[in-house]
Amino acid sequence: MDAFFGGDAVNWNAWQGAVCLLCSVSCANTGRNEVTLPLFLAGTDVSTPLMSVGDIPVRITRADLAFGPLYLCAGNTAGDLCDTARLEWLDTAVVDTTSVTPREVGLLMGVSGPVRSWMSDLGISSQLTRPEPYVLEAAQQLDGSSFVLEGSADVNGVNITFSANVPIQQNDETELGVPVIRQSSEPNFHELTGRESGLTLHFDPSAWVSRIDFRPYAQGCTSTNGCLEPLILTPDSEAYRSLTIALMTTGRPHFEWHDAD
Amino acid sequence: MKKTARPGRLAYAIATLAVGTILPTQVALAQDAPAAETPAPETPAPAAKTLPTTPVTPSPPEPPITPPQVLHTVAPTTPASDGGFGEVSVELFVVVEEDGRIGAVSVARSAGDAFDAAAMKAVRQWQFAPAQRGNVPLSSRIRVNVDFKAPEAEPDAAESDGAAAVAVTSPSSPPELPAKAAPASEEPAREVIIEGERTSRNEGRTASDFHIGRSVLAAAPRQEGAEVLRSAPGMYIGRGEGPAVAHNYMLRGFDAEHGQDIEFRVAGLPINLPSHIHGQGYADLGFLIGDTVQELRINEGVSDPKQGDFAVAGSVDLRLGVEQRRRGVQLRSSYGSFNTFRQLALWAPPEASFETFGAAQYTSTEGFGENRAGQSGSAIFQHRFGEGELSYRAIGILHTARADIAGVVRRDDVESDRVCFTCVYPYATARAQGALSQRFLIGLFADYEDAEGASGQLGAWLGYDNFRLQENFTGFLHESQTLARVAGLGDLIEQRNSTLSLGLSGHYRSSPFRPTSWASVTLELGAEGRLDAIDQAQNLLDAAVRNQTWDRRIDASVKGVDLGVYGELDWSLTDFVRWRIGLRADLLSYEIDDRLGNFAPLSRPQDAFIPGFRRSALGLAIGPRTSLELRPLDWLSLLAAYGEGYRSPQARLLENGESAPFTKVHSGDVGIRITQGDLLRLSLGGYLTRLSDDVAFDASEGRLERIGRTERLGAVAHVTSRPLPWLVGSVSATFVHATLLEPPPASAEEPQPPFQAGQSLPFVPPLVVRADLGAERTFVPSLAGRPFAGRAGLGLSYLSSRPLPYGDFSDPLSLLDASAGLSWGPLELSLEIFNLLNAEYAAVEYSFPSDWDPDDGVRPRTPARSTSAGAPLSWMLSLGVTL
Repeated sequence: MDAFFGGDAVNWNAWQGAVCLLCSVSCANTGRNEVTLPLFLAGTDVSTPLMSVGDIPVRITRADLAFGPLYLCAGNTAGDLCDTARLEWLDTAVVDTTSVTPREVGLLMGVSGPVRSWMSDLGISSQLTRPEPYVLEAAQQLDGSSFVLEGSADVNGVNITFSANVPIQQNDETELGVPVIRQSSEPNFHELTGRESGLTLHFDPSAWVSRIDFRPYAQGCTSTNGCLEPLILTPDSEAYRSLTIALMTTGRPHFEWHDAD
Repeated sequence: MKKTARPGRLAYAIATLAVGTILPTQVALAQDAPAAETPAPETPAPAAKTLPTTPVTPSPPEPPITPPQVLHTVAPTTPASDGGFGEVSVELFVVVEEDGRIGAVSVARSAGDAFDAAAMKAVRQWQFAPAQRGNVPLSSRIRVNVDFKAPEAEPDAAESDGAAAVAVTSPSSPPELPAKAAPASEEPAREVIIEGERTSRNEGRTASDFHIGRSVLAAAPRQEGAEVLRSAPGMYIGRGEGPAVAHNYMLRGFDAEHGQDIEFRVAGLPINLPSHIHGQGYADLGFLIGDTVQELRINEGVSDPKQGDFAVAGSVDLRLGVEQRRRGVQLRSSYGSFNTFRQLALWAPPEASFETFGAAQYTSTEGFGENRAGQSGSAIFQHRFGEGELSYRAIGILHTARADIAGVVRRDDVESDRVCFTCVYPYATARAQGALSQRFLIGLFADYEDAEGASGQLGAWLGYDNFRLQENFTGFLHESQTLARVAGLGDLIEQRNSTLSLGLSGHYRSSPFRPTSWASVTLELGAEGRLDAIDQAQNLLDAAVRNQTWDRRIDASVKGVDLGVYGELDWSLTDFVRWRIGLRADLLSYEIDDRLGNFAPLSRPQDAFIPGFRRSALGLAIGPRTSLELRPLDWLSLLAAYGEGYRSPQARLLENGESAPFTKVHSGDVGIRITQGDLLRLSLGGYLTRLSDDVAFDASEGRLERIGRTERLGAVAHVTSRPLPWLVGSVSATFVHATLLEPPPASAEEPQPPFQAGQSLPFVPPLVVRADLGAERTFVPSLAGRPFAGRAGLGLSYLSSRPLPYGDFSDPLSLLDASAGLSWGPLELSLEIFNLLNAEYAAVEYSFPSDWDPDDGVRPRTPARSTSAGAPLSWMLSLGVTL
């Protein structure tokens, strides 16, 4: 397919070489350059209990996040002002946010230049062409959720086993076709030169779980028997809403750019 | 200007009737000296016999006209049955083509069929060097007397003096009927009609001014009339959007898109449409009928005060006419690849001026891939009438075309075999792409030239253009700005534009004033103006539901007036120096009725106002033009020129009261021109052009957007040669370093736009090469009484790899076309092959985000290469008859 556009009847490489020799100045500066670099996703070690609202120790046993697609933008404001992205990763992957080991999930592709904002979905995307959101592969692996959380909290000696399946998706109040996670206004966030060897996103589930107040759920439970049934966080619960807000706004991943050298 | 009495020789009287830039010249030669005898009976000319050649002035501001030169004469054979005649004279019109061949021969004054036939047979065997203006060959029509005298007449033959009005007295072919030439003094006043442009405004200003004649234009095959432009150095034209949308033009480092950087005129009629919705300066040359394009005049750069709006990369004048040897009634049917059919009907009265003709052409094709079928029809009528100091030319053009458009496909989709290179995406929004164009143009021009050499022209023209386009570049990325939560119905952009234009033009050029014996100066003053009433709209259509409109983007009307005045002093200082200096000023005003202005219902639904934003603006563009020519040797010219031009703004983008921001053009040229007759014409030039505010194509909106200040530094080489009478070749190469000096201002979306200072300009090929080669020979002078001839041609266009936005590059492009034809008398059979190497190439190529997979749940946002396929190998077989 390399010869497809130029035709294969002529040795275009020789022509190209001659032309570039002739116009060495012209060929020297072409503005933006194509950039392709691997994307890694990693979690954070949460083997020690974290503290949630009210200094309630929480132990996380599972925190799987469906992540992607990801767009890195030139403008200070992501969202609908990012019609043209610098870099994008159009796939999705499930990341175990409790594992610190980076996992390569694919390639970011785009062009060089400054990156000042980014946006992403959590496995469920909204498209202009359909009012209902698309559940992408990673979210499908999580049974339609963006985030699956399991763990236990110790509320004043009462052990609460909890779980949550959280789909993060657009609704009637959000803008159609725009990713749900948007990080704007990060001046000089990164100058993409094309010399990078990769990008790792580090997720920290404690940032999400620490926003949950487990104390109300200890009512009716005893320290000896605990709660009769595991706590399932439902969308009508305050804890669920706290988790949703944390996932979308406060607990964004940390970007680590890797230089080739 | 051009009246010089040469005692004892010839008295010149030149009546020039200017017709825009296409000006025939009539030179009447009144011979008052004895003419030499004509050698008998067949006499190879030992040296070129020069027709009465008189420079127009001793130091003419324009190159002198040199009438045709007789190289070889053949005396006629007296009809045997007419041996008892006394003195018989046949007067003939003989057309001498620009390559010296004899074109049409017709009888001006008959002496009976037998003598007429004998005279015509003899004259057809003569050989000529063509008429010339300066070094530019011209087609001409000369009047020739052929005298037959009875045997008792004096046997001394008169030499013709090489005059065009060669007096030929036939030696009788039968020995008993020797003939002699009549004394030239007995000749009536003779006439040479130089059917070239009278004024030489476009000559000699820079080394990048080119006149390309019919012989080169006809050398290589052309799929359509506008492709003659490919022979212009540095020019490439492509068809990315089908036959109903204007070509994409590139000229010496300018991606002129649909005409924004090139001022086009056809037979004096301006073609560019200001503030067109599909591109500023939109110039659709689809109406051109190749057989009627006689000459291409290209002024690259800005150096002529006559160059107006859109003359940024330069200006192009196409001169229409039908060469004498093809005059008559011509019918030609063509059929070729992809079920393409073309029918031409051309009528050109042999006795009339070469400018007088009527032509109509119809074309239909299924296209070379999916969704590319189209039909088009053109009719062009032109008539020159009137004689003497004042003559007139009327022209009318009518054209319409309707074609489907395959649109662009993403290269990554082609590489993954999701869609084939020449295919169209399988969605209604893609298959509904198409365009319609309709155009009507009429003009009337009155041309004046008096015996003193003053000349002028008055013209008026009227035009109407209607354009409708449905095109989808980006797939499914748009959302309605009018209706809440309506999106993703396909980015099928509908563009509509209609322009009613009225224009007037006039210029006057004085006869030369000679303040000293070694200097002369002429003054030219000109004015031209146009009024345009434009209605335009842009919407988004849902092709799946009978083209329902789901968003409105533009609904506006524009009234524009462009009034330009210019003046130029043209100094000839000795025979070696010529200096022109001039000034041009254009006043442009606009009234814009933006009916969707202030319309933002989604963000401000409670606002209480009636949508609309009416405004007006006016601006003045002034720029000097100057050129200097040094001619140290007859065959060498050194040239330098500088000019400041402009491009008018897209009116809809103007604010109220804004002093219309013009794109200011600074253009400088230097170069040399070497001329060695027909054997070699060589131009070498360098140029630097700076633009204050350039534009580039934005696919998301399907229109041009500003990209900032730019610069082109380049060089042009062009050589034309006719090493043999039957062989002509032309090669040009243009190299340019086109850079962005200053990127466009940042926006909220793109604080650092994709364009960087110093980068190469997108879409501009650094190297453009063009070669034309044509051969034409008569194999058998008389095969069953008719000449049997053949011709062949090659055309090669090469474009180097072009930078695209976002750091990408297109692939280089090379197109080789070939043709061959045979003619026998009035019949002609030809085969044309296009893209002989069958290169699979992109007619246009862009880089922008698009989403042609609406059901995959993700939206690409990074730029991707998108291409529209160029035509593969194809052929066309034509059979024509000229009656």
